[in-house]
Amino acid sequence: MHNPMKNTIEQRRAFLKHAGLGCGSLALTSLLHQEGVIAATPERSDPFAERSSHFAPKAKAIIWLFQTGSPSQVDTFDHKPELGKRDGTPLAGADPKTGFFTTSGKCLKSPFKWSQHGESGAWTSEIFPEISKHVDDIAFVYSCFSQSNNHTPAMLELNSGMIRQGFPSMGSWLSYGLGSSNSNLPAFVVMHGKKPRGADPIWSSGFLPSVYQATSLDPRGEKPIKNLERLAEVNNEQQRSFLDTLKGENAKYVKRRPFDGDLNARLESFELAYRMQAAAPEAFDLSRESEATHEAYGLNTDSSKDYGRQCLIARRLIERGVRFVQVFADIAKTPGGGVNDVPWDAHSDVRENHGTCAASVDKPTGALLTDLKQRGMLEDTIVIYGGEFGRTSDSQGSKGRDHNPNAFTTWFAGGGFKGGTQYGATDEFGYKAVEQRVNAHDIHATILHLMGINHEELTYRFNGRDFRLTDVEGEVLHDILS
Amino acid sequence: MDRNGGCRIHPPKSHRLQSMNYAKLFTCFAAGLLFASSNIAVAQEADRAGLDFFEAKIRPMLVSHCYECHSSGAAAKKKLKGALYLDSREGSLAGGESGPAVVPGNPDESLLISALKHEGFEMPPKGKLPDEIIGHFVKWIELGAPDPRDGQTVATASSINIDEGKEHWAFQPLANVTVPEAGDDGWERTDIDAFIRARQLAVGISPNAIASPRTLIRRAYFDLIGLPPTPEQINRFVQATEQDFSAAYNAMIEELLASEHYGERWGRHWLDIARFAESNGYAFDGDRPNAWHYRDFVIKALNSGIPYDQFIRLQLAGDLMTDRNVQTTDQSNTAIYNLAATGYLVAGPYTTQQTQKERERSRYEQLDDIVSTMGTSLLGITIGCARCHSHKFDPVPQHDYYRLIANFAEVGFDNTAITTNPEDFANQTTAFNAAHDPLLKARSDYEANSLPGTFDTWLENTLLKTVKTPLGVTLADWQHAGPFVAENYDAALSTAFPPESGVDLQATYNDGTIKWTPHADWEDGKFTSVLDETIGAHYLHRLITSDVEKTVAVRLRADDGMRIWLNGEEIPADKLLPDSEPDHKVAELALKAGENTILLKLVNAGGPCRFLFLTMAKKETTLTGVGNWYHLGPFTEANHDAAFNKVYETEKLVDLTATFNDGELKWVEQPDWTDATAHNDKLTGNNCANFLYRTIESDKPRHVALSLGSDDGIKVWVNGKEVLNKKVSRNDAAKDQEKINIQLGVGTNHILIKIANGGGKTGFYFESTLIDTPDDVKAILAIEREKWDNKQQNRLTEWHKAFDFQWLALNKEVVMHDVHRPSPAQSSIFAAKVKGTSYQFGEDTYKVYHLRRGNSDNKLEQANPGYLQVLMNSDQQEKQWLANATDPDKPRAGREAIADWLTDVEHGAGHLLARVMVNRMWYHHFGRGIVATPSDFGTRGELPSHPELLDWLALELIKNEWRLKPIHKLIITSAVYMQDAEITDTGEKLDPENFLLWRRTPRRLEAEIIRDALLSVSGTLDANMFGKGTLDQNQTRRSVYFTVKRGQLIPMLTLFDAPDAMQGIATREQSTVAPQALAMLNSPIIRGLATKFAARVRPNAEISIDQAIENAYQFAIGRPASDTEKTTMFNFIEHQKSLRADKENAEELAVQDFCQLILCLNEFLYIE
Repeated sequence: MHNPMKNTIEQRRAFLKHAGLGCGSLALTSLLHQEGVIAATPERSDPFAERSSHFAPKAKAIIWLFQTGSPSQVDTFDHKPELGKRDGTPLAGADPKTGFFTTSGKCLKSPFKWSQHGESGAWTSEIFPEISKHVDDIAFVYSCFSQSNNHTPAMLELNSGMIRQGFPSMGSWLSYGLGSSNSNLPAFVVMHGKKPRGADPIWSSGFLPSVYQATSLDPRGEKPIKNLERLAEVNNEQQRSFLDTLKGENAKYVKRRPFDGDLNARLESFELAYRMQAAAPEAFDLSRESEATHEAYGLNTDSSKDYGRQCLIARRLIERGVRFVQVFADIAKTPGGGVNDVPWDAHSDVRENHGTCAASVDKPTGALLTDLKQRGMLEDTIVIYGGEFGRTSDSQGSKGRDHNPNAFTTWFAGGGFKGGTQYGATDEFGYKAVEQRVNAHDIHATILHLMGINHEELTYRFNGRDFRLTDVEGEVLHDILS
Repeated sequence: MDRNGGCRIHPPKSHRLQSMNYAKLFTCFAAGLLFASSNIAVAQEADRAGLDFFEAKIRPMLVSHCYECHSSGAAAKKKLKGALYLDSREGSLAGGESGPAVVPGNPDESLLISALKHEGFEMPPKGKLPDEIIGHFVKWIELGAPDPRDGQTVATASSINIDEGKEHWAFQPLANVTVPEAGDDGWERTDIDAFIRARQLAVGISPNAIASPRTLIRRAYFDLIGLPPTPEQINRFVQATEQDFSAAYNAMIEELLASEHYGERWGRHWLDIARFAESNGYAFDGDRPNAWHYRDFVIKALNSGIPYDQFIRLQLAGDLMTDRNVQTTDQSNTAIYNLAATGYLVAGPYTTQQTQKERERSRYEQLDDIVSTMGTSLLGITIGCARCHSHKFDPVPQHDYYRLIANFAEVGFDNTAITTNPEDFANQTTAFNAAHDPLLKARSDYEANSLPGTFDTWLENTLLKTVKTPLGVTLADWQHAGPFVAENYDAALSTAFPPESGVDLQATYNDGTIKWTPHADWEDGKFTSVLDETIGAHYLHRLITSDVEKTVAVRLRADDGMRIWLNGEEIPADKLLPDSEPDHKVAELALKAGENTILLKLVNAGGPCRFLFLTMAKKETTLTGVGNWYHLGPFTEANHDAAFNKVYETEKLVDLTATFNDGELKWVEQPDWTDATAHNDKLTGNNCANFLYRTIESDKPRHVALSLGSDDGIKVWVNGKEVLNKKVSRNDAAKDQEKINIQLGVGTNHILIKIANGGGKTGFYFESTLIDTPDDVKAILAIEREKWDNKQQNRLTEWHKAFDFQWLALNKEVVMHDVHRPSPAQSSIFAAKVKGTSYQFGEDTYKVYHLRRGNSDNKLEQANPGYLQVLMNSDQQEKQWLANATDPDKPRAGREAIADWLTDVEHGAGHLLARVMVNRMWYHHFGRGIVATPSDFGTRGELPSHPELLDWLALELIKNEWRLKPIHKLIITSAVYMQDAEITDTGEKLDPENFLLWRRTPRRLEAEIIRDALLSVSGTLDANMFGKGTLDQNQTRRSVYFTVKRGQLIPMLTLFDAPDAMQGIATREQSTVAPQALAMLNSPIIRGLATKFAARVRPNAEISIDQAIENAYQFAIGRPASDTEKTTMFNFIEHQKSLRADKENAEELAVQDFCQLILCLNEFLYIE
């Protein structure tokens, strides 16, 4: 007779590939060990136990607070006094076709007051009183640039490195590379209100196996995860008895076919599903948080409650082992050019628009940083904050700013980033990144590095080519790492 | 599946060792067992293993530890050390100042190794690398330092050696293989089996016996048509096999290959490869509502048994072979089919929101999508890599890439309409013409016979009289006196200079400097210059003599100001009337019989001083004979469009006594509805039409200007002739929203207005003003009739028609009947079109240039169509296919010739095309291809497990005139396909991966087939084929008929790994994840199907539970339930029932639970 536990690399690979939660496979298999569903054999346990990363990671989890629609660098974190002095005068070297529309070519000063904060003395504009308190924990990168001056391609670039659709997002690459560190929740969660422009393809798993896809959800809804709720005609006891019988029958089938790894995975997938029914609602249940926490995250204020909810859920998910949570800023009713799917898009009035947007995100973002720090989670949790590109230093109309792919600020905190650092620079008007220019590939390389992955070695062969998240580029930003 | 696994993150130590062992094992296995007959393959395999080792172990280390100081990047930053480049093969071999860094095969002589070991140099300077890694470098150099880096970073830019490239197994001609001798155990059923068996015999593996008939029929049904066999079909087949197994099996296979479901099943495989979708993708993901034709083309083509070469020819150039002017239904079907085929070219994503800067780059991306898809789907070659640089691994130079995309330079997309039933349309047209022609004839007869007469009469008796009636006045020449200088304009206007107190033509003014001068040359009706720029006033005087007392009008205009006196009495400014011409005034002169005097004062503000004066008949100001409005409506329709477009009876003929809508509506006179008032409160109704009608009596031809307003759409007919047709949406009716001029004839004129309304209030505005005869008509009338040219004659003839009631009546017959003119039924097809829609960026839009590094801002010369050199075996190169037999000077279009190149086995790519296709078929039949990477036959792809069999099958395909069904049959009737899934000790021991196919590997159904099977067993499958799809998850047609919207994929399908249609894919992943289980447990759709399934297995309570269990097993998994299963399931149902003791329908729910459970069985989802 054949030995049902005997397995080969092929089977093991098939098993690893097929198992899991839509969230990578490793945790599932280790779970199977814990529960004795499969015997713990060295061949099976060791490879993935060690395979978790290329080298020791500094971070375990990531929260990316994506500021959809793109905030203006010169009105948020990239202080440009020269722009203020030359308000209304021609902007040297301005290209009125930089953005989506046509700009004036004349300098538009920031309508906001600026001040320095912390020991690092980082400048911030007045619209971020809460974030400003954390500048010593933040590494600012002022010299980001993107390829496209159009929302969707630029968002694709920030997420997948490519301006075209069809390539895996960073979250999917991470799931593919590292598997999942929890057994009851997905590894990669995307939260949005109205989906950002470009929608699901922005966080696509591309050509990677679809197990690595994001679980995307609108936390405003009552049922953020599909099919999580039991049918009306079936209660827990009935479902348990259903699953026990099914398990018995399917196990008999598996016994006759020990080679086929995904049969085992399927057996377990029903059990995981059963557990998820309990675990997921708990993770999303904010009534379990204190009133003080609600207040801190801005849940009691209309303008900040949606985004605050996303931030708080993000923290709860990370606590429960979700590796990557991407939040697309949920800001309703933004004036000055922004619309639901691109709220920061201040085409017509940057003061009105950014004032409103910042009022919505500042408090929750600050609360999240405080909260993570207090819980000791900031050390190994990366927080990323930024949009898909920047905005022009010259005006669109009289008070707005157009898209500007040549310069924007992204900041990072926690998880191995060196707080209180400032990296790269734009020209004196904040119009173009000129020093230590950073693109999406560099950001991705850096994040992967902190997660313990050499970005050049994380590859996947598709249609005859080994693809990387960072394509043929990407440099780790060692200067801002601790 | 990738040889190195789906997951290519490089594993840590223990796993690495296993990987290496595995790689070694595979190499030995491959060399020793599988590829004994193919030395080239073995050598290539060894090279590839070396390159893989380089990629896995060496390159990352070089990049992290060496490039900082030893690369072209470092050189660019002026950081290069020791003139040593380690970022290219050449650089490593050449070495730097100290000599060659790498000496292949000899680690001891390689400076790189001594430096790494810190013997001499100490590299990297930051610290010695771990011994393990240094060991890798040693091993790599021992292996001969295989290094794929093409050296573009150093001066020796390498070019691809095409001849070397052709050595790769996949680019070699098809081997004329002999079928191996059969084994002596009688296992083989076909030639295929001989190939399979020969490999097995070499290692001593025995294959499995033929599976049971029940297993076979289920396997064949799912494989060929993607639906489960019914219990009846199974029983019939099982019985038939007892008579004659082979005959029964063959008959079943024939039946399935002839089934129309075959195309639905295998078409879906092709749609994966073709990245088929029905939306643009990207931000707005616009729909392509006519893209489903491509899906239908694929299904129809496969069902028809189309030869594969023809199948791809149509997809690449079907639009060029299409005659769009179809006369028969056959022609129409062919045209639709051919056009739809090119959906293949244009199925890729397309972004509609573009900035100017992005367009050209996007165009090259679109072309890249086309050739990349072509490369992977047809040839198994990754072509897209060569866009920015020559392909790193496969012999595809950048030059070839741009020549290849040049074939598609003019390809855009469009929705093309084709008449679907031309015969029907022709019949309708004949019938229509039979009725229409007499009406046309009546009108043209009238125009030929009567109209010239009525025109003459009208011209002489009416028109000339109206327009050219002599005024009966005579005008003397002008006398002029001036200028009288003033300080400014106002002073000039108000100062009464001497002539104002009485004109004496003999008098002189201003000390004799001003006197009256006659001007016989000043013509009436012309703008005359007084030739003086002084600020001041001029006086003009003339006599006008009338035989009787009468009023005439004069048209006046001056540059600046003017005053006029008649017989010494000034006509005040406020009595001057506005004229139709801007800045002109009309003054009415009440002449007495005899002589009258006119005095004009021209006031000049400086600059030229000009004036115009023309006497005319007294102008009519008000239109008389206008009747009251009559109103009819509202007529409610489905929407605004319908109400606007519908032709109502009333439009044909107004009958004020008629009633409508069963007497609900009739004409109502509205004496209070006044003109020149916006009536926004009189009409009512949403999505409706209201009609307004009135008559106008006229004693002579008149011209009337109408100012109209409407909320919303408006049509106006005058004497049955449509004069306005405007579909608009408005919030209110108001003055001047529409302005038209109309003609009234002598007698009763009929005005009909239709106001269509969408939603909200509805209203109208009507105001009429008499206007003068149009100037151009007057100009013609001023010429003698004999001198009119054709254009002038036509103008007057046409103009006259609108006054001729007889002609109007005949014309109305024609127009009203024309409404019934048949329009052809058409189908719109989303397809390729020469110079169709694409990103537009000027004159280069449909041209292709060679681009430096793939950058469209860096153009080289224009690219001419060509093909891949490595797949051309002709002295003529691409001219072999591009040469035009009839006209040697004019080459064929590249896209027309491309299919010839692709299918040319001798000189072109035909051998590869055939290999790739038979391998795809093998892949779908077995779950793994003979080449395990079906879209990558390049040097980085897998090697064939049975190379001779692959070539033999490819030759069979060509021998069978590229028809696919014979190949299916060859495969499906082979013992290797028919064997069972048992695991044997020898097989497990010698070939656990089943490379040698000694057993059947069970496979999970694909997403669409899972759903189709659920629909089928629950008895809800709607077998209707073709046509527009839907996004409704609850639809019950086969899943291939779902609309594929890129931004809104069907959740249930993506859950089970349906592709996202962004790029073509060859092999679907098969994931097994908890969300699938959640769906099977909790989705109302699944429960709904389970409920229907339950109603099918137990339609009433008369059916025992035992019987229901038996039925469920038969329907869902095609076999009887075992006794154990019956007991288990009976107990389960009883238990579920007991858990619902409080419910009346507890048993029904319990049976539903059971049915849902059956649908969750592995045996339902996995096919052996």
